[in-house]
Amino acid sequence: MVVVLARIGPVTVYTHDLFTLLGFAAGLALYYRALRRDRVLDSRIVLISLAALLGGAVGARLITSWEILDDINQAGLPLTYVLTHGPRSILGGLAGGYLAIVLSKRALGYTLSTGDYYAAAIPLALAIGRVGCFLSELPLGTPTSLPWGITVAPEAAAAFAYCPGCDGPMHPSMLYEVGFHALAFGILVWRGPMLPVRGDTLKLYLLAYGVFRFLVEFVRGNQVQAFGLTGPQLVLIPLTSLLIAHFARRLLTHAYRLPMPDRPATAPGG
Amino acid sequence: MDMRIADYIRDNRSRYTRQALTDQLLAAGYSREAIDATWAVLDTPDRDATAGPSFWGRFWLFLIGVNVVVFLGVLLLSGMLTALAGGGAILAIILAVALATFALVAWGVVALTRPATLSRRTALAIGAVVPLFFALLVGGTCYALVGGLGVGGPTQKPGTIRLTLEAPLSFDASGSGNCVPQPDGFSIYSGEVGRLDGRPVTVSLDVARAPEAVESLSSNLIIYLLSETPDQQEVSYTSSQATEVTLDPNATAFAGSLTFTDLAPAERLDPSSAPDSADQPISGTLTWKCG
Repeated sequence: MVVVLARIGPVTVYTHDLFTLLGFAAGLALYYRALRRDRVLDSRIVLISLAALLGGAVGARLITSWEILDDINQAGLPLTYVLTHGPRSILGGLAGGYLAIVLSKRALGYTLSTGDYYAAAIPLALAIGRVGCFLSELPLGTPTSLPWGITVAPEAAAAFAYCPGCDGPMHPSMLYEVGFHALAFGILVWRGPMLPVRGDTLKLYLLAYGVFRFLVEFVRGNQVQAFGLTGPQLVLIPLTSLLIAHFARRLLTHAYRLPMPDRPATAPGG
Repeated sequence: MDMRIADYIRDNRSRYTRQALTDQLLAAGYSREAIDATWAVLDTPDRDATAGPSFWGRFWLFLIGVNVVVFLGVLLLSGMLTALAGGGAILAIILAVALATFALVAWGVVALTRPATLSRRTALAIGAVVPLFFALLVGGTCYALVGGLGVGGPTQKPGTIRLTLEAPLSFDASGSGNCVPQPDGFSIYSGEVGRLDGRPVTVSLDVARAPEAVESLSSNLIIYLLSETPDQQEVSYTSSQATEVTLDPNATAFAGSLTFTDLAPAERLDPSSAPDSADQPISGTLTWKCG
């Protein structure tokens, strides 16, 4: 475990935070490059991007706030503690960012769908960020006897208050996610938009990630909250249901059938 | 430009992707060259409305200016400027390096968008927001890390914290911690000072007092027994009205001791679990030495 990457005097560089920042910068650069390539970069996009960042930051904390509300009440802390110190979730970040984009676009009167430009940027950012999680967080996953199970040193495990499987090999669940996001990124860069309707490629990626994350949670090592499911799994059920409903509606309304253009005029005498 | 292609693209580009529209036009019998030429015409920005090469001169001025302002602002607000001889110089150098690094990142992000070929308003938005965002991110993070040093005040220092608890807990151990001077007192934070019943013990102390009168002090002492397994309960002991804290008259932010009695346990998270010795108030001594 490399929780702290470096100490420079009183300044501590945390591994997780650095990789998060690197992932964010890489994703942002790719996003703007894609917009620029298709000549749809607009000044309003910058404001929408800021709204997405803010919505993602708030959403990442809010979606897990219910897990610590009792603790906050007992400690006599203000409710804003969930925003400043609460646990964070990528799922909440994605949901909060998505909602912020929808609202800000309506507020600015921006009608063009730009979701597909996020489609490659998001898995890139997440792949990089998850490396930071792998290097600095425990447990890595549930105990396993598979040959690729990873064991951590007892001294590293002792630094974490909750690490039930740390005395043996664990599923490297964060690496599973890194692999998924890297594969998704590769496919999206190679293939480009996979569906003809703008924005649906992003939704397809989110649906795929939602299903993948639901399955990975069984070996992630998070605490079970209710019905034998972890917090992220409980959140994923309504989120992926919305995406499934979206695609079902698309198929039922034949949204993927493009209108046919007029045929080109034939040459005179032909 | 083929007007039939142009009309088709204009009517559908807001809903369908470029590739899908191109494929549909190819299927209808239009040539790739005609389609690409039409896209190029529709996508070409108005030269008179672009930012032009002069964008970069203004961008560099703004990038340097905003980072200098953030640098000076953090130096002033955090007290680094008045504590340069006391270690603030090192922090200032670190801040400058961090700002410079992320200024380069901001330049890279902006450069990827080729702002000189964008509209003036778009280029202005990107050229202003991206550097400002990174500068505020770095400056805000540094300020939060360094905290309020106070005018001419020393920085926090690492050291050793020793905690002794009287029966029934009977504990005596020491571990690493930090001593943090505050404008009106000081704070002591420890890492794990030892283990009690297999649980890590940590300590947090905040003292606020008038500089000349030890008697007029207020303190908040918290001792944690952390949980490591799901069946363990995290226990904390905090100052209450019944708690008496006696601070050594010679105590400073960096060295001293205090004795405490009747530090009260916080409410049990699970009232139905069997009571144990953790439910009783505790007394003991806390000693610290930093730097």
